Amino acid sequence: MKYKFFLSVFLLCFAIKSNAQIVPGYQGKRTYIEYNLHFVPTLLGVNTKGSKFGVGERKSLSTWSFRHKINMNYVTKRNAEMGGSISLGNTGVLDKNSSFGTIRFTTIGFNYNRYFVRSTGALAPLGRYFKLETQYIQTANYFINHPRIDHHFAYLGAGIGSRKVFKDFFTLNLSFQSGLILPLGTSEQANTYKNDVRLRLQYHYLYEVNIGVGFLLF
Amino acid sequence: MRFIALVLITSIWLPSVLLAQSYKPLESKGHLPSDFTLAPSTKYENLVDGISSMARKRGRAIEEQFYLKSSFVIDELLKSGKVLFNDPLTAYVNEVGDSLLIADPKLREELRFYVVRSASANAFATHEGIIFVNLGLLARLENEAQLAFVLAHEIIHYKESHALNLFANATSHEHNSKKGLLRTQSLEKELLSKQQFSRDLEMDADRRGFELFSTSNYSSANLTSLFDMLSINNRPIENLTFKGSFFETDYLKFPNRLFLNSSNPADAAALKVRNSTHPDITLRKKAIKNIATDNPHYKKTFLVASSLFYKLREKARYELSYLYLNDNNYYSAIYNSYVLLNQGKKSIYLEKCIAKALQGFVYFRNAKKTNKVEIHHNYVRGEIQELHYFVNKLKNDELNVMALSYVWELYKKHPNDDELKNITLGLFQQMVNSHYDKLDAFYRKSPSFETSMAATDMSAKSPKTNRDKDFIRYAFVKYLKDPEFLNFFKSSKKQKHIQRQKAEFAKSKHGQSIQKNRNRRIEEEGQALGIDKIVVVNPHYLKFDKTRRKGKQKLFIESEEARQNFRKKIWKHSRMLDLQTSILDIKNLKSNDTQKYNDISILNEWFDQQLDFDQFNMPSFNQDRVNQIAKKYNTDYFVWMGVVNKKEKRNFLNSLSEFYMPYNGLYNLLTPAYESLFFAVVYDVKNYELKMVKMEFIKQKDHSSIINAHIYDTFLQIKKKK
Repeated sequence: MKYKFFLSVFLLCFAIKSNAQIVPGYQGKRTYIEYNLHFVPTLLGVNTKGSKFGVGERKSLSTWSFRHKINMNYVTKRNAEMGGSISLGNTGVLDKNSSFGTIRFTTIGFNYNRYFVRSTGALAPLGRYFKLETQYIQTANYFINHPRIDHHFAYLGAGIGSRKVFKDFFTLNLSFQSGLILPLGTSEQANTYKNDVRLRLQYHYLYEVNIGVGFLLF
Repeated sequence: MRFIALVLITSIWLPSVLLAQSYKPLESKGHLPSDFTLAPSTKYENLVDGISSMARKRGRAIEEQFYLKSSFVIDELLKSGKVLFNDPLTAYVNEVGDSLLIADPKLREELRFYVVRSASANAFATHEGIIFVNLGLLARLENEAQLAFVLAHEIIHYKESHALNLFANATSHEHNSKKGLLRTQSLEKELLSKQQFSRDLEMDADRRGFELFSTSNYSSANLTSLFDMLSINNRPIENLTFKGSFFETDYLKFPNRLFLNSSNPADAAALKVRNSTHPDITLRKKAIKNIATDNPHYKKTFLVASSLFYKLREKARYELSYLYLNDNNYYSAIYNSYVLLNQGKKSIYLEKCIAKALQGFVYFRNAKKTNKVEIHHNYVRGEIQELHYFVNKLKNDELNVMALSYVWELYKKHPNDDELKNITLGLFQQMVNSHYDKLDAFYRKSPSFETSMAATDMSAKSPKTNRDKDFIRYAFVKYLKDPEFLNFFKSSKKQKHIQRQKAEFAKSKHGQSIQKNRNRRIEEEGQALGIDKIVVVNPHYLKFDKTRRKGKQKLFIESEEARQNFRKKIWKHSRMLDLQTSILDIKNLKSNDTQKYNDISILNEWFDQQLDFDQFNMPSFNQDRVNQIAKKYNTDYFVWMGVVNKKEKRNFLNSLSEFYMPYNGLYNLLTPAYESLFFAVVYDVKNYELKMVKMEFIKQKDHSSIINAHIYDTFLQIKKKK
């Protein structure tokens, strides 16, 4: 209850503060929703199709790992925006005994984008920006002959991108980001395969390219 | 006989007296001619349609290129606001054109004559059949026949397509030098060869122009002095000795060191311009003399009306004072007004022109921007040299005090004139800020009184006066008894105190941190001007494409279309934000929008002058007219905004350096480099205060959404209240 109260007060203060500022957004629209596809070549690892190639066989470059993300951003200043996101992804992992497992991961994230107003003439949400993102990641790992194991991770990442608006309504986003995966939770059961999963996720999050489409809400 | 003489004198003298008393600046009237309303692309298409189908491919290409460039360039001039139409001067020039071409009505129908508000003595013809005559030329002509000859000369340029020939010649030079045919020729020789071609065309226009002139009933008796006048662009209307005593009062007397012993004669023949596009004056004079024949009795110097000529020339001369001010040529503004005032006329307009010129000198000199307005006396000839010497020799404080003394006298004569009051206050402020912030610096007693009473007079702190140095300390002897003068001084001092406090605070650590925060806040949150109504003046859009080799014509047309779209976007966004907006766009006027045309012309001049005065808060020279416009549109806030977009080939190495960004590097490698500049300048025109400057360099293509975003952002900052 206490946390909810503080969260409400924080959001209220934030709304009052940002409303008092002169923020153009795009033609007055400051909120938009976007679907983003993050993809990365399966360097140094396998993807979910790894099972097809037999245990121990590595596939790289020719296959891709994907993450599907929905995010909603709110322009807070002429040169900044904040947003929240949820995403869903999957990839594969080989443990030290070369047993193959599928990783399905869901994330809840928070991002802050700062636009290069002075150098490129961008105005949030339009133009080039620098991005900071943090995520809470929950993975569900399905190893062969092993019950599902859940792991928890945190992600801290940064990137750059560019957003365009078409027909005064649709948005198109292109970005690239990279970051670090940090382990969360210490239970013994969770530690099984944890390093393998973390490493695989790290490869996935090391170099992500992102294409997104969305639309302006209000 | 006496009666006729009286009528003649009255007809010349009376209008000039009336003009002196209530001079009104020249304005265009009636309906806008089609030259001003048609889009340049339409004019270009019409001209291209007229090219003979028999023309050779290369010749046709050159002709098309010429029509394209000149159509757009001439359109820029026509829509600069500098061109007058349906005003008395233009009407008169047209009448002279009628008289000249009485034998060739077909040719007359093809031609349009306009007067350009420019101080230089010049006239020029275009391929479209438009002949522009500068107001500076009309102000200097001696008679109507001279004007007729100038028109005849320009008509030949048009008739013989000299501009096109010149362009073709220059293009072929360029073409040949690219091919290496002229590689052996030096650049100077190439330039000389181009100039020679231009001079040949001028001689041809003189010769054939004279033939055309001879078909009319104008007399060639007084033609040759015309060439002397044309030889020096800014030759004063009259070579009158300038006397420094003009600025003297009972107490302000200038020492001899400020005066030149003798001035160089204004001899046109002495000026031989080597690199001119026009032939030598003596040659031109000689050529005309050779072909001139006796003038039969029916040939006359004036065919329209001599009284009208003198009246209109007087008007042009009055206007010239303002045009000089507009060009920041303050010497000529003072000298021109001085000459007219010395002809026995009393005119508050001319006196104000002098006051404004002095004000300009003072502001520029105190801001240490002398290079923008000062010309050394060695670079000028004639009696005006004396004025140059006089002003340049005055020290900054001396000039300020002299200007204040002159303007104060004027203000006391016209105490209800707000413009004069503003100039006076401005000069006070300048003096207090830059030179004297205590009245103790000035003597309160006259020189003679002081000399005798020096020992006993407590207020005269410096009995050992050196008239050469201290002459300005007597300047205010009379005014120091005037409570209004003391009040003006006091308020200027108070203003200085406030400014100093502000400056000190800005220098302090706390002040610097506040300023830093303010700048950051502006960048992040923008400004909030709280303005409900604006006027957007001449929304501007220009596109450059450096990647195109062929089809450059599309560039001009694209700019025209982009400008139309930009205007639509302005409307759209002002409606979105409920910001009352009027657009004054000289490129989008209908035939009955003459008043708008005049307003834009005044506003453009006002804006250009403010750009020159960016270092200090000084009113433009047409401030009173701009105040009237502000009243008419019911707002003090005027916005100048636009976009300049450039497209060029990308540097390969730069593209590679950005390759660390996967899509950006690849994208950059494959696409040209775009750069756009979006600018918006918001002025409070009544207080000549710059309220907001938004200048965004956008490193992208001028995509519609980007322009939309910046227009919206500009209007939001204008509209939103703090």
